[in-house]
Amino acid sequence: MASEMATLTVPGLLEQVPHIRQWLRDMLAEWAVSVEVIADLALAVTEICKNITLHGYRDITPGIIDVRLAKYGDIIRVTILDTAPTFIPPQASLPLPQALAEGGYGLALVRSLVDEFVHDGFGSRGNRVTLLKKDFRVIQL
Amino acid sequence: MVLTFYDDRGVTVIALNGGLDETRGVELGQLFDRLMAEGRRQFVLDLKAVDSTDSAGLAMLVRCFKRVRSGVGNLALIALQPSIRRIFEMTRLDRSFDIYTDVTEAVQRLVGSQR
Repeated sequence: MASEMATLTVPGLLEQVPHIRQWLRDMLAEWAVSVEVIADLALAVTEICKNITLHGYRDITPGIIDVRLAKYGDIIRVTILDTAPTFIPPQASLPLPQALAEGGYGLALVRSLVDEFVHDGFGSRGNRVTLLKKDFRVIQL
Repeated sequence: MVLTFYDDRGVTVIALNGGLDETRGVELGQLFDRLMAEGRRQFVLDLKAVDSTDSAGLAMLVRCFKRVRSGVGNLALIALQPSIRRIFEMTRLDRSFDIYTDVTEAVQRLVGSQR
């Protein structure tokens, strides 16, 4: 059972991403999550939401982005839902350093920032990305 | 983001401030274009006041780096905050860029590399 829960639903537009990021920062700070974990999750969620707006909704009328936060002891779970056609994430291997790639860092970065990254596609009904991050600073009494 | 720059022994030191995202990266690219059009080729990017970045910001930084190198120039980074250095390590871009702790060291290396 989650000790804390919060949900934010916004239009799937690029200009909403800073709003999502700030909301997530504010909620996690309110829940006394460590600043390091807040920074990692804020960046990971930013990358996911940007992908949704720039790629998922690129050729269609943008739907929504639904962000659900939950805290289970020292575990933070972020669930991000969209209504874009199913996106199949690449294995997200990083570009080689010598390649000096001008892109391709986003999902690889997300995988590095969180402890668990799960993508579920629901065909034409959208996608669900689940991120899990352990906050080692939390001491269970 | 505020972009300021000055010259140190023929090396242009550019200081960034705030978050480095795509929009800021575009501004930085435009500044590089202008400075290179003036004939400048040696650059140090001071990141000590940069507190956040994302994949788009990193991509823009790589683009600037390639632009400088294609003009037979050099670009070094200095003073990465721990959170920014960690992102460079995660993306392995710490292996692509020359990263120094301070401006003196970076300028010395760049001046030395021209001899």
